Parts: sequence; C-alpha cells; structure tokens
Amino acid sequence: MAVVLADTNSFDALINTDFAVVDFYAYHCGVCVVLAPHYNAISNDLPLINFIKVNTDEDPALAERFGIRGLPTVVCFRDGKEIYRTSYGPRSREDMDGIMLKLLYNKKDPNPYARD
Amino acid sequence: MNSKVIRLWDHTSEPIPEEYKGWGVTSQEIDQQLQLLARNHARLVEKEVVEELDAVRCGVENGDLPITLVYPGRKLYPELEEAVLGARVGDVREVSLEGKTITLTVERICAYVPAEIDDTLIKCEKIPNVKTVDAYRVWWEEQENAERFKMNSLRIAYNLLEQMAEKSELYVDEEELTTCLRERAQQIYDSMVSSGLPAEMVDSVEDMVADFRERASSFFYPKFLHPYVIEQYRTEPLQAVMDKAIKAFAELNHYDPADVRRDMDLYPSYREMIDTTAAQLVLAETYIHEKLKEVK
Repeated sequence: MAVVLADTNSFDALINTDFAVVDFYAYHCGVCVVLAPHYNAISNDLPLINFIKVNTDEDPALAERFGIRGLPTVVCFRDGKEIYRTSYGPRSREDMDGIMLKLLYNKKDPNPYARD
Repeated sequence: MNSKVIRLWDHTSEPIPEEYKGWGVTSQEIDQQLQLLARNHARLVEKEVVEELDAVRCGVENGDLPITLVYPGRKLYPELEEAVLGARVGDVREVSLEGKTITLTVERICAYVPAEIDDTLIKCEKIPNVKTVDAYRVWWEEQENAERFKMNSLRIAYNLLEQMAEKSELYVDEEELTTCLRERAQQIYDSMVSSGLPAEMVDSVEDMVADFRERASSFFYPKFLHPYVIEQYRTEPLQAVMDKAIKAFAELNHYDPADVRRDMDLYPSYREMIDTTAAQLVLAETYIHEKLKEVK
C-alpha cells in the first residue's frame, strides 16, 4: 500500500493505530532519497502497519513537536505511543527490517548505528 | 582572485562513459513501473488460512508484547513465521523462543492484492490527459527519459569538471589556497562543536586544513575553474546562463528559486554551487547532450 504523506492535520489519526512508522525526511537530504524506495517497498510488503512520511521542510511544526534533529529519522509507534526511533542513517531494506524487529517483537535493531 | 587557469584540459574528444550508454527507458522498465503502481494501489483482503506472504495479527501470551504481527516468508522472525503457517483465525500455536514458550493466538489473516493494471488504475493517478494504460506508458517513458537525460548530462558534466581540475594547467596562489582551506575547516569545526560533539572527537582546524589540501581539486580549484569554464563555453549572455543554473539548482534541490537567489548573495559557498551548476549546464548544452542522444 502506498506510503501516506502526513501533515499536521492528519498525523495523529494516522499514528493512532496498532502499528505505525513515520519517516521524517526532506528533499535536500541525500540519505532520505536513498531510503525512499526501500521505505515504499516495505510499505507494499507489510500490511497492517501504517507507513507514513513527513516532509520536515513543508511541516516544520511536526518536526519540532518530535524533536527531529537529523534526517532521515524513523519513528515507530504502537497504539499511538512512540516506542522507538533511529536517526542513524537507515538507508536500505535491511535497515528497515531491523526497525521492524524492534517495532513488532521488541528485538534489538541490528543496525550498528541504532540507539535503543 | 590571483589563482587562474593557464591551459584548460580539452574535453571535446572525451567519449560518453560506458555506464551511461543505453540509458533510454525499456519496455520492461515500463512494465515494472506499472507493477509498482499496482502494488501502490493494492487492496487488503481477508484470508482463512495462513500462507507465505500473508500478514497475521496475533495475540501473544508470555511474550514481551501483548500483540504482534507475523509475516510468513519475510524472514523477519522465522520461528514465528513458520509457527503460524497453515493456521486459521482462532488457532493457537506454541513457539519455543530462547528457552521460553510463548503462545500465539491468530486473530486476523490478510494479504495485499495488487490492483489490476487497467485504465481504472491509471485514472486513480489523476495525471492530466493520461487516462489509459497506453497513454500512461507513453507519458512515463517521456518523463523518465527526460529525467535521465537531464541527470545523466549533469553527472557526466560533473565528471568532466573533475577531470578539468586534475588535467588542466593551473596557477594556484598559495595564500589564497591556505585562506580558503582554513575558512572551510573553521566553519566545519565550529559547526561540529556547536552541535555538541565532544572536542576529542573533532579534528583540529590544522588537521582538517592538511586533509583538505590533499583534495584541493575539489575544495579550491572550482572557485576559479568553474567561472572560467562558463566564460569559455557559454553561448548566451552570462545572466541567462546564471538564471538557468539557479532554476536548475532550485529544481534539483526542491528549493524556491527566489530563496536560492537570496542565499547566493548571502553565502559565498552558495554562489560556488550555482557556478558549478552553471558550468555543468554549459558543458551539457555545448557537448554532452548531442553525444548522449547518440548512445540512447
């Protein structure tokens, strides 16, 4: 299913579900551009998780609300509550799989740069 | 500047690099794009029995979390994925994980089914004047070819500029070089320290200057080389060249051209990036475009 681009108005409704993942990104961020196709692919592969994107240039208020300091930052939510985030450069399907392990099973993200 | 180009390397016999040959969109790539579109518009269907590539929502007892999702065939957590294969809603499965037995109760089974590739799917995209699969194929091919032509031209041009920096005869004013590298190193040092990095993790300004000196062809030569290239090869007034560069730079980086104009007046490094883009465009228009068309 296509990734949903969220803004301030739609964001809360989109994360208030069992499982949601948000990619905070910007066009001028090279790693964000590298991550984008992998993020889209995993959203097409894993039903029942809301995959969301927030453009921090167009919606700086959301970036501020979540204290986003680096891009891309991927934030995971269960039942609308943040349980995990990484801003250490996820850029591949393997990196996204690691983030899913944390979200779904509370297993350590194998990304060596991830911070639990 | 005192630093200057004495003799510019002649790029006009340089062939298009192998990796850019055959850059045009193929029919197979259009098919793949349509399949991607179908997956993006997939619908969720409920299922009765768990199979590979389904999604399974499970209640969990004795686990770390009360509910989880299991995705057979994705190898995210193979033990769980194998345990639920063949199960129906309401079935209970026990799995031994790291010496602990957890109980999974299957609550929901579903899967994505890609949309049909037909005119209805294409209309969902709401592309002006593109209402059918055939029209979409033509439209996407044109869009993608134009994008590849533009981006490949810029990449090849950048590569030529790098070669010009290496192969041209240049006069480098030592004082200008040192001042430039020091300013750059100081900027980087200040930004790293102010971002909160511990001082022991940040290279000293002197170490950075030494490092940058080895890469002067990237850090310093463009300051005088790229404006020289623009002057040598431009075929229209300088203002027109710079306007095009600002527009291209803004488009590539998703900026507002007005912001780019403002920032290039405020920050010298911005001005240099626009000069580089202008030099790339000039080389693309006067040399690369024609060559690239030949190897489509």
